This record gives sequence, structure tokens and C-alpha cells, in this order.
Amino acid sequence: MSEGALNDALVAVRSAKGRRYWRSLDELVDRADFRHRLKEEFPALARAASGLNRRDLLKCLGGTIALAGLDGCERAPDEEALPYVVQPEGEVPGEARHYASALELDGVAQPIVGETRAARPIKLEGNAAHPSCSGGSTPFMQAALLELYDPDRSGAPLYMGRPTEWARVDRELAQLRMRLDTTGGEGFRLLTGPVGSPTLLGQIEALVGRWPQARWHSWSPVTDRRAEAIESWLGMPAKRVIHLADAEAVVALDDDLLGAGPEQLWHANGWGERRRAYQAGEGAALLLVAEPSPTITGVTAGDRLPVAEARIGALLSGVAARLEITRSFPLNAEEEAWADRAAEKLRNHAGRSLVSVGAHHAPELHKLAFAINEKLGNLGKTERFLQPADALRPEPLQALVEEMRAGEVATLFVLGGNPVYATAGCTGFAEAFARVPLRFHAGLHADETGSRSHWHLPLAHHLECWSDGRGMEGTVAVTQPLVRPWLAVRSRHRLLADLMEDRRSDRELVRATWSDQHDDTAWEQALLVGHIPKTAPAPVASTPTTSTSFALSASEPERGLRLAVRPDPSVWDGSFASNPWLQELPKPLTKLTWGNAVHVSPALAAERGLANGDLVRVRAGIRSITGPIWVLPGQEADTVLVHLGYGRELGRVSQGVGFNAYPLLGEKGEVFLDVLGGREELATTQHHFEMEEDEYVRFVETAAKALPPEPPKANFYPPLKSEPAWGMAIDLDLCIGCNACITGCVAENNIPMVGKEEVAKGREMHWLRVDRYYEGSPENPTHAFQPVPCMHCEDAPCEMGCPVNAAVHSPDGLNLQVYNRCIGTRTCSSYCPYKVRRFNWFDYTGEDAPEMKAVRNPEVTVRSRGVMEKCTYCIQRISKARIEAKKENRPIRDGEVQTACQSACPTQAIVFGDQSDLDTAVSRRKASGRDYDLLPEANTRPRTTYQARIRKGETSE
Amino acid sequence: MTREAQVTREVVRIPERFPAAREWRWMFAFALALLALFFVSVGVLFVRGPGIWGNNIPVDWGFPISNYVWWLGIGHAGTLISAMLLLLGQEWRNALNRFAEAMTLFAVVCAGLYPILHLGRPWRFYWMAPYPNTMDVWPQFKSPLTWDFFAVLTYLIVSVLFWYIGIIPDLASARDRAKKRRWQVFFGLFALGWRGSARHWARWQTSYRLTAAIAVPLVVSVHSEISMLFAAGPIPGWNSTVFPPYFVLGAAFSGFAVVSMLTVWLRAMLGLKDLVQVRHLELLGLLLLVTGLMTAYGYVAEVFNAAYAGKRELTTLQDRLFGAYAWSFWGAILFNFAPLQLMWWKRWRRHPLVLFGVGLSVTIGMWLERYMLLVTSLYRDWLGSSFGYFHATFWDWSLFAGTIGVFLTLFLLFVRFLPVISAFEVTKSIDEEAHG
Amino acid sequence: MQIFPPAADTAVRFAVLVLVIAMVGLPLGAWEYLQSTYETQVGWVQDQPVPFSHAHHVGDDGIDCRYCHTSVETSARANLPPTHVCMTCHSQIWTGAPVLEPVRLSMATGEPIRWRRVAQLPDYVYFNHSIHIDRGVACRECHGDVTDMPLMRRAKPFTMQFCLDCHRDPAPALGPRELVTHPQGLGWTEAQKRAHGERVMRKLGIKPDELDNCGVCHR
Repeated sequence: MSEGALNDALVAVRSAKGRRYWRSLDELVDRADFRHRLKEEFPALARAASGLNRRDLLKCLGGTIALAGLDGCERAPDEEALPYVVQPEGEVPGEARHYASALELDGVAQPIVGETRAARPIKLEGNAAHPSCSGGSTPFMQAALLELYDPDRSGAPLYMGRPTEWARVDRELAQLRMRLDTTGGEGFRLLTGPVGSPTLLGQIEALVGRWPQARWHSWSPVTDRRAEAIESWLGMPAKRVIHLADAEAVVALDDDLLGAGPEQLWHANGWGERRRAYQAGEGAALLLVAEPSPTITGVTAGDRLPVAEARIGALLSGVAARLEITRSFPLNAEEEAWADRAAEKLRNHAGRSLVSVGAHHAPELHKLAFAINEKLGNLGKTERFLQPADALRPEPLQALVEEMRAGEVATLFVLGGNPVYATAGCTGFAEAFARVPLRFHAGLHADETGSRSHWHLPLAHHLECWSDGRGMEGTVAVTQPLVRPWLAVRSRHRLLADLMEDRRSDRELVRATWSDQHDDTAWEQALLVGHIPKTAPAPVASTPTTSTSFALSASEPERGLRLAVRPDPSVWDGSFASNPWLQELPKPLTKLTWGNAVHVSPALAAERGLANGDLVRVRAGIRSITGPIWVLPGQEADTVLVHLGYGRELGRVSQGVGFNAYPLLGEKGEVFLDVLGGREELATTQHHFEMEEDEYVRFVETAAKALPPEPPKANFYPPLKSEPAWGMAIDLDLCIGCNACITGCVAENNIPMVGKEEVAKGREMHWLRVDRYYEGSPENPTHAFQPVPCMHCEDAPCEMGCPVNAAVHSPDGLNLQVYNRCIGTRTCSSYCPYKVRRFNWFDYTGEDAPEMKAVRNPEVTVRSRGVMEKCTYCIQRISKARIEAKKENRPIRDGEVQTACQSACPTQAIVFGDQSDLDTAVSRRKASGRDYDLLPEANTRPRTTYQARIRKGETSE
Repeated sequence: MTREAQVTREVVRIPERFPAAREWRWMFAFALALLALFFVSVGVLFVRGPGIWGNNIPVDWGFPISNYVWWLGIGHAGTLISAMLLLLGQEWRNALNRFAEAMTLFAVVCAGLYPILHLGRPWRFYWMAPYPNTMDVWPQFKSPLTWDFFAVLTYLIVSVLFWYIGIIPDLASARDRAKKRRWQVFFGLFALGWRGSARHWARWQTSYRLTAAIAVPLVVSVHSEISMLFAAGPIPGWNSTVFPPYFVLGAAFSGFAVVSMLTVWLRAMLGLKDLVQVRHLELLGLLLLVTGLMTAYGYVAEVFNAAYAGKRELTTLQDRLFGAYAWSFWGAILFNFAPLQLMWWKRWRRHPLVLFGVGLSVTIGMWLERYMLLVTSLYRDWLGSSFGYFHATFWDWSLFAGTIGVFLTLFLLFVRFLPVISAFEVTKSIDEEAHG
Repeated sequence: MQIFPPAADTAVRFAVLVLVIAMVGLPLGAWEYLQSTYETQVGWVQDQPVPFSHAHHVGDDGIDCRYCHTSVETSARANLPPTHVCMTCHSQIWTGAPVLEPVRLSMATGEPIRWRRVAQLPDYVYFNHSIHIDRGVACRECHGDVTDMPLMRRAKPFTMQFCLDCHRDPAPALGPRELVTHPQGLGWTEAQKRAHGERVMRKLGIKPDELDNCGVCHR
């Protein structure tokens, strides 16, 4: 600090005295003590120059001096340049480098390509070279970047909550190893989340092999009962994969296929592919959903039935009965009708259809669904079972809890995850955990579990370590580090290796797992493309061993409220709670940020006289939680929905945000709502969801239909002509509202997060927002999503309003915002009919932690206080492409420029390109009969246009 | 001593033997307190940024702009009264013009502050002015804001000139009558050696009338220009050709309201009953009534246009009448026009307190109208998704109160140290009555 | 009782005159200041840890710019040479020179040399070296003739005006691609330069009316 202060002082002094010419070198020599003398001469400067007061003082000064008109005298401050000492091989400063790698979420590998600048990862994209990804990404993949730079990540081992060295950890591990060797692993338990990494599995196998008495337990915060269903149906464990790309008719019962989570990318890719095929006239793309509370899957579905979670079984039996598989439970008229439609579509598309039940439902339901798929001949096509890649299988959490209670566990090693927080209240893990004599926790954060363990060991992030994992369809993805860890952290592999005294490096460990089948050239190739070919497990001969007699529990819903607990679409099970990008990400349906709510149906809200923000207590069994109400149209009348992942004890970002719903997880029976009278302000980015008669989102009946043609409008100005003429097309029929585009944009364009209060004031900074509207009855309305970036109007009102020429039009049709010219009159935003402009009301960027500065994209200006900003069509990417093209003396190719939102979109809903050339993807999109302008009456000639949503999933009748 | 001499003495002696010294001190203390608040608010604004206000997206203009329009409107009355009526040869104005002009001046100062303070980067405000620079960039002349800059600046300069030229002869007589040396020097300096010779009077006449002739069109042009700030935007409730005349009338209306208040106040405080006579009050009342009715017509015209301007204008209109900010609309109607109706009766027009009350209510009413025009149009403009609400914060109010402090301080200083009434003109008119 | 002597009139008139002069003079002064080398830093020398002489290395030794500024043709940034580039020669010659101590220290400790930037643009300006080089804009057009710079100094005012002058009329600056790094230039006349430049513009389709839009440099 004082060093910096001194520099400030020197700069101040020098500019005060003005620069000096050197007449000779001996003047240079006296430089050192010249500085020294200055230091003594102006101690006041050094003292004044420290801390926040100074900054504010200077700002204040800056303001007043400026108003006095003396501002012109400011002079560029001196800068230093620090070149490499030895430049790394292949590194060109100022140029980006890309590496194929993979993240992991709940044991599923998420293939990525990481962009690094000066060895800093600054952007992640999905790796289309990997078989389990056809491009695009998810919010979690995008935000994993910030997770790497999270200032709250633990950077040193903790013993009893106090920092310590790894050396001590190693000694401790050595002692543990000796104990285990003598006892054969007596009382040692390893607890992990879902494990996908073959290398890690190998290590665990080795561990259990070495210490036979040791046990490996695994748990997932998100209940998944499909595995047991598969095992009892097939008589063997297997991995289930569904291929939406081939499924022309999908019936999803309380199964959020397209929703957030490890499977989102795979499913969204598949759905997008299917839907695009349907648009092109190849087959159908039907999606029928029955669910208690609207999910983005339900919103995407053409046919949605709100139904209590407890009725799913009955509904499924109804569908099954119509396909002569089992008898049906009594259904009401609505359910009958829906079952009829579902069964009909399934039958019509037999072999290319699919029934799927939410993973949290009872095994019987899954088995029945499998049976239906088998009968329809969908097995091996839309639904496939793969050989289990792993011989060793973990034991469940509950068993561990029993043992811990019984005091049979001497040492518990928690490898990743946060079980103390993220386990259902009914398991009683937390209490049992406290009784274990020796507790290790390895994780990214010193979280609830870490703080309750004797030893907390900081884990390396996936972007800074070697590993491997399996994509959705089984192909192995290789994780290679994009950056060397700057914190004292170790990878999961390292820790287990250390425990077992394995001296090989992480890289060697991973390499060894695949050494048998791959020589070095093949390995290099694998690293290059990010996956190891032909590693997908073979399908199992799917012949059910059990007879298809189903002991479905006839769960008739006795009156009363029913609880639905789901992982949060933004922070998932809580693992992303300390990630501002995701905390501030508006949840798809409610547009809530920074917190969760108790979602109720409009009917219930009316009955109890509840309004958004009213505090209620939700009681289920012996447990209860308190949270604010949110009324959600389309939710089943008696369902109460809460999201997991909030109400954290620790973390500068996550602490005190929302409420913890884990206590209620797994609670059966009726729930009760007590109105507490208080209110809590919820920060939502959208207040008004009804579309009324405004056609913001337009619809056509089938893919064959077109919108009525817009009458041509009179206009004083001639249409802009240029080559290229940049334009964007957003297909609302492909948009599933997953928010990947928003996070992609945030990562690419250095968009600051502003926090709950600011969002509540309507000051969120997202350049791209995904609007959500509904029309029709609040019981079961038609929902629609609409991504809204800047429209880049040809006749832009904002440009007319700006007094200083900060909002101007570029020759290639971009609606530019020149930050350094902007003085912040905000006229442009007042005049903008689409309200896509964002203003820096405060200095949102200056106070950022160094880590948060490191994540920024150097190609995009960081905006200061008081300037307007907005979507630029990723002008930095356009510039790059333009310069490359010019150097090669050719026009810019179609698809050469991909905007961040476009490359992030998993369904290819967003297309960007040159609309002056009729043979580009964007021109073809805009040529379709579904193309329309948003707010045509504003007559602004937007360059961003939309393609109408298609109501029906098939063109027949 | 002749009537003329009396008048002149009465007026020009005020600074020296201030009749209401104690009251003045109390008022001045109050004004200074508000002024302090102004500086605090501005300081906080510079340190933290415009985020301290309630503004947001979509309502990214809030108090600063509506208050700006309000202040500028108030400013207009002074120029109207003195310049317009001077050219029309309305002698009775002579009793009012001096402090009306002063009022104009200080109101314009307050107005001028707002657009600068409202900027995200106030220290760059001069980029709105066309000046040669190493960036090779000029202002954007299509933008109404660029012209705002010129409008306000011109208006300020002309008002200062007009007011100063007008006051010179009185400064001279003040100088001559002054007993204390320092007063003699003070007035003497600003009297620019006026000796009241025929040549002086001739030149003075020309220049005074000339400036008046320049000032009058400004009254119309400036506020028409300000209205473009809104009318040029494609926002339902703004994008209307009614705005320029509508704004000018509203401006005059609010201006006369403030003038009436000041008149009644000064008349009472400085005991100028026989200079500022009841008939002046009555005439002010009439002016209020007339401009008020014209403004009311503006309201009607706006509603009428909306009814024919398609769906969006209609929804905005409904929103103003019944929406979240309906209070601002009905408030404006109530304060502007309800008490105003008293002005139909001679005996209320002649009643100082009533006039004061009406003036006050109209001032409030016009403020509400500016607020309504700005907020109710922006908070629900086009896309349902971007609807959002505006809530003024403490700093919104404190800065507003602060500017009132600026105004009061300046005005009180003027009252204390300069002749508040154009003595020579009053005497002149008396003279003409006597001999004409 | 006369307060002011007749001379007072003169005083007042003089005051008015001063006022008028000030109103005209101040803007002119400001304008001059903005153009001044003090503000633009043209010709000013930064104190450097090592008194590196371009005059010697380029002028006397005839080392090409690209030997040290390697990425100038491929990257947005020309980049300062890594320490080991300096040491490729200076591990052989001037191995003991005291002025090179910081270089040897840097090599030994791995601590980079802290040069102080001479050619420096604001962060919101995105200048790309490679495209300018590719178009044949010679180094000297912006950095001047470094062969007479014993210590590096700024040769041109890096104001927006300076950039725009060229972007609005590129012809004179567009030299032969293969000679971009030639320190003194080819001794062509203005006419020759312009003629060549215009040929290049035709050949490469360089449109000045597109070169001066804000988005070219600002993002």
C-alpha cells in the first residue's frame, strides 16, 4: 500500500513539476536519490494517498475542479510495461489461445473450449468436437469461469479452522495411511458426490483394494431414483441416455428435461436439432408435459397439463393403459384427455417417441415408463441403456449416516461437495457427522462442511487441474488445466494419490488411465480435440428381467397442499451460491434474482389473500422454513414449490441470501402455509408478465404457416445499405429460455453485477435479457420467452437524442455506443422503445477484487461511472474477423463472426451475420414467413428480428 | 417634496435603511440553511454518482429534468412582464418588472444547474458546446439537448443584460442619495457613471428596448425548445406536436404564480403599498386566470389528441388518469385550476392573501404536472417487460430543496442591496399621468 | 461630492476591454495548451531502468524492428522484447556493462524489467499493429525515425486528431509493405507518396469514409 502511495506521490509530484529532458546520462544516475529526496520532501502526499477516503476525496475534487472547467489540463498518467523474461513457447502477447477441456457437474463431463489471454482463462464455450455436445453451453458452464476466480475460494488448508501448511496435511495423511495399513481401513469412509471421472474411480478402487475395510459412499443433493429403477428392471446397473434429437413425440411427466443441470446441454442440443428438423419439414417435434409447477420444459411444450406431483403415477398408468400395458387408475376429465393425446402421439410415432419420468419419482414409475418405451420400440433408439463403465459401486448416504450414528466411523473423508448443508433434513447427516472423531473435507470453499471438519483441504478448480470424465453419451472427455493454480490447492486425484503415497503427477495419473489403449500421438490428439474417441460404453441388451406387473401405489391426493422441492435454476443445489453471475441471473420463469421464494398458484394466492413478497412459514412434518411468496401462473392449484441452494451460513456473496429449503427435502405428507404478516422485497427484473393484446411474441399454428405480411410503412429515411450489413435473427420457437445467452454475454462483455438492492431498483446491467410473457388463463397460460438484445435499429431514436455523438451508427449497420464520449445524459435510454440500454449509476467496476479484474475480457472496455452501455453485437469479435479478413484480402465468411449469445445458445436459436448477402444463415432465417420486427409501430427498422413461435409440434391435420 | 421625489427616495433608500431588517435576517438564515443542503447534496452526488437518486431503467430521467423544466418555466414570467409589456407600453408593469426580472434571473440559474448535475459525468458537460478540440468531434446538432445548452445560455445572458440595463438609472440615483461612502462606491461602480443626461437617456432607451425586443422571442423559443426534449422522443405521452405552445403557456402560468407570491410578500415586507397598488395585484390575478385557462386548454388538447393518436397514446392516457402515478395528474389538475377559479371575482383578485394562496397552489400544481409528464410516460413506455417504477429518494428531495435555497439566497440578497422597484419608471409614469 | 475621478471611465473601459480579450484569449490559450508538447508529450523522454538506445541498435547496428518487436505483424500488440532477447546478444557483448545490470538482474531473478511506456494510448482505444503494418503503414509514421533517438521519445502527438488525420486521408501514409520497418523512409516526395498510397487504396479497397467511424477504434 505505502509503495503504491509513494508511486502516487511521485506521479503527482512529477506531473506537478512537469517532465524533464535528459541532457546527459548522469542526470539519469541521480534519479534514484532524486526519488528519495521527493519522498522526504512530500511525506504528506504519501500519507494522503491511501485507502477509500482518498479515492472519494479525489473523485469529489475531480468533480468540482471539472465544473470549474479546469478539466482539460488532465494528462495521461505514466504507465509501466513489463515484458516477459522468457516468453513461453507459442505465446503471442495480445493474442488468445484456445484449449479443449471439460468441466464436471454432478459426475457428468461438460466439454468446453477455454479461451486464455496471457495464460488467464477469460471465456468458456461448449466443445462441439465432443460427441456429447453439438455446440452451445449452459449458464453453469459459462459461470464456471467466475467460480475459478471467486475471491472466496479457500486458498490454504485449514486445521480446526486455522490456516496451516500442506506439509502438516501430508504428515497427517501419512499417519492416517499407517493407521489404515495396520487396520486394513477399519472405520475409514470416503464420501463423494456422483463420480464420473474414470481416473478418480480407478483411484477409489485402488483405495478400497488396499484397505478392504474402508467404504466408499456417494450422494447427490438432487434425489435420483432412476438408477435403482434401472437396476431392478434390467437386473443390472446401467447408464440411461435419451436422444431427443430422434424423438418426434416426447411425453415428460414431471421431468424437467431442458431445465438446468448436468444434462441440460445434451438435451437442449437434442431438442434444438429435432425442432429445427421439424421446421425444415422432416417429421414432428412434439413435447407433452405434465408437471406440478411450470419449468422451461413445460413452457417449451406444445401441450402442458398442470398436475399434482402425486398424480403423476396415475397419469402415467393412464397413458400405459391406453397402450395396453397396465390398468389405469381413475383420472379426472382433464387428465383423461391429456392421457388420450399423449398415448395417441406416442403410438403415432412409435419407435421415434419417448416417455420419461422425473428422476425423483418412485422406481415403479420409471419401470413403467421403460416398459412403455420398450413396447413402442423406442428402446435402443430414443432411450438407450449403456454398460456401466465402473465395476465398483458406491454405497448410499443413509447407510453412512447409520454407521456414523453407531460410532463405527473413525475417519470420514469428504471429497468435494458440501453434505452438511446439502443433505435432506430427514437424513440427519449433520448431527451424525459431528460424532465422527476425525473429519476431512476437501472442497472449493471452506463451507458449512469445511468449517465443521477438523481438516479442510482446498480443492483445485476444474480449470486448473488434470482430470477426465464421461459426457452424457459416455465418451470420455479429458480435462486439462487452462491455468496454473495461484492458490495452495490440490486436485481430487492429488489428494487420493497423496493418501495412498502415489508419487505420480496428476497428468501421469490421468494419462495412465488411458495408457493401455492410446499411444502418445493419440493422446496428443485427444488433448487437442478434448475427448478420447471410441470410449463410449456399449449398449446393454435391454431385456427386462422383471415381469411388467407394476405395484403402483394408488396415491390418491387427499385434500391439502403438496410440497415440491427442486434444485434452483440459477444456483443449482447451492454449489454456485457464491457465484455472482448466477446469483444475479434472473430465474427463467419468475425473473427473480438473489434469492428464492415460496411459489404458489394464483388460485391459492387468491384463496389465502397472498401477494408477492408476503412472508410465510412452510411446515411439513416436523420441519419448517420461512420465505417470501411468489405467485406463479401455471402452477397446480395445491402445489407449493421451493428451490434449494440458498440460505447459506458462509460466503461473502451467498451468506444470508434466500432461505435454506433442504430441511424440507424428502418430507412427505401435507404441508401448511402460515402467513407471518411481514414482507420481504424480492429483486425481480420483470414486473409485468401479461402480454395482453400486444404481440411482443407472435405465434403461428404449424411450421408450414406464415405470419400475415406487415404493411410497408412510410419513412423519411432511405433504408441503410452496406456490405456487410450485420443483423441478428432470434427464433423464438427454438428458444427454451435457459439463460445461457445471458451468462455468455456477461462473460464476454465484462458486465458488472450490481447486487440485490440495485436490481430491485431496476438497475441490473445485463445487455441481453430474456423476457417472459404469458397469455391466457393464469391456471394454465401459454408462456413464451423472448431474448432481447439491442435491436440495432436502422432509424435509431437513441442516436437522434445524444447531444455529444456518443450514440452513432457504423457503416456496417451497428448502433455504436462510444463509452469514452458518453457524458451520461441518458437521453438515448429515455428514447429507446426497447429499453435495452444500461447505465452505470455508480462506479460498479472500480472497487472489484483483483481476481474479479482478472476474469475480464481485455478486448472490451470496462465502463466507468456515469456512462451508458448496451449490446454491441460483440463488436470486438466483428473487429477481429474484419482485420483477419482484410489481412487475407477476402470478405468475412458467413459464421466467422459469432456473437457471445449465439455461441452460447444450445439450440441455435440465435443466428448472426451479414444480411446484405442473401446466402447467409441470418438472411435465410429472415426470409422465413415467421420473421417479424419487435414493435413494428415504432418503425425503427430493427436489425434484430424474431421468428414466431410455432404452437403445434407437427404439421399433420 | 414632490410625489416623484418621494417615490424615488422610498425605493432607493431601501437598501440603506432596510425596513424589515429582522424578518430579512430570519429569512436569510433559512435560505442559507437550504443553500448548505444544496452543497451537501452536490458533494454526495459527485462522490457517489447519480445512483443516489431514484432514477432507473426505464425512468432514467427523474427529478433533475422535471425540476429543470419547472424552474425554467418560472423564469419566463419575469421576461414576459418586463419585456413584452414594455414593448406593449403597459405602464403598470413598472411597479413589478424589476424584481420579476430578478426572479427570472435566479430561476434560470437554478434551472441551468440541473442539466449539468444530472449528467453521469458532469465534469464533461462542456462537450455539449461546439468548441475546437483535439478529438475532432462536434456536438450532435440533431439532439434537442444540444439546443437546450444554447437556449439556456442565451436566455441567461439576455436576462442578465436586460435586468442590468434596466437597473442602471436607479443605481445612479441610489448612488446620489447614498450617505455612507461604501454605498456610494458600491452603487457608483455599477451605475457606470450615469448622469441622467439627455444623451444617456436616449441611448438607454434604445438599448433597453432593443434588449427587450431580443428577450421577447426568447421567451417563446426557449421553452418550445425545452419541450422538444420530450416531443422528439418516440415515447407515448411525449411524442406530440402540442408540446411547444403547451410548455410555453405552462411556463408563463407558473411564472406569474411565483411573481404574484413575491409581489404580495415584498409589498407587505417593504411596505410598498402605494407603489405596488391593489390594481397591480388585480392585474396579476387576471394574468394568472388567463394563462391558467390557456394551460387548461393545453390539457384538453392533449387528451383530445391522445384519443386520436392510437392505442399506445390511449393506454398512456389511461395510465395517467388511473395508473400508479394518478395522484400526480389529479394533483396537477387540483392545484392548478381549483383555487384559480377564485380569480373570476374582482374582490378575491384584489385580496393579497388569496392571490398569494392561489400563486402557491399553482406553483405546486405546475411542479406536479412536470413530474407527471416525465414519469408517467417513461415508467410504462412500450414493452411490457421493461415497465418499472420510480421512487424519489432523500437526495432527490434534498437537491430540490437545495436549489430553492439557491434561489432564495440570491433573491434575498437582491432585495436587501438593490432597488427592488424601478423608481424612475414609476415616477415617469406618475409624471405622465400628471401632465398627460 | 464626486466619488470617481474622470479617470474612472477609462478604468472601466479598460476593464471591459480586458474582459473581452480574456473571453477570446482563454479558449485560444486552452487550444494552444492542448496542442503543446507538454500535453501531447511529443519529444519528452521517459526515465528508463536501462538507457536503451534505438539510435545505436537500429541506426548503427541496423537491427530490424521485428527482431525485438516480434509480434508486430501478427498481433494487435508489437510487444517489448522478453529479457532473454536482450541477452541473446548481451550474454556475448557488453557482458559487464554497468548500465545493463538491470537486464542481467532480470534474467537472473526472473523479475521483468519495468520499462516506462513512451507510445501509450488510453485503454478505450483499440489499436491493432498488424493491420496497419499489413496495409503498409510504416513504423516511422507514428514512432518517428528512431535512429536519432538515443533515448526513446514520443515522435507524434497521439491525439485522436492525429489518428483521424490519417484515417480520413490514408494515402500519404501507405508505403510499400516490404519496407514498413525502414527507419528513414524512401525519400519520396509527397506527390510520390500520395500516388503510391492511392494505388494501394484502390488495390486493397480502403475506404476512408468507413475508416473514421467510432467503432473502428472504440468498443
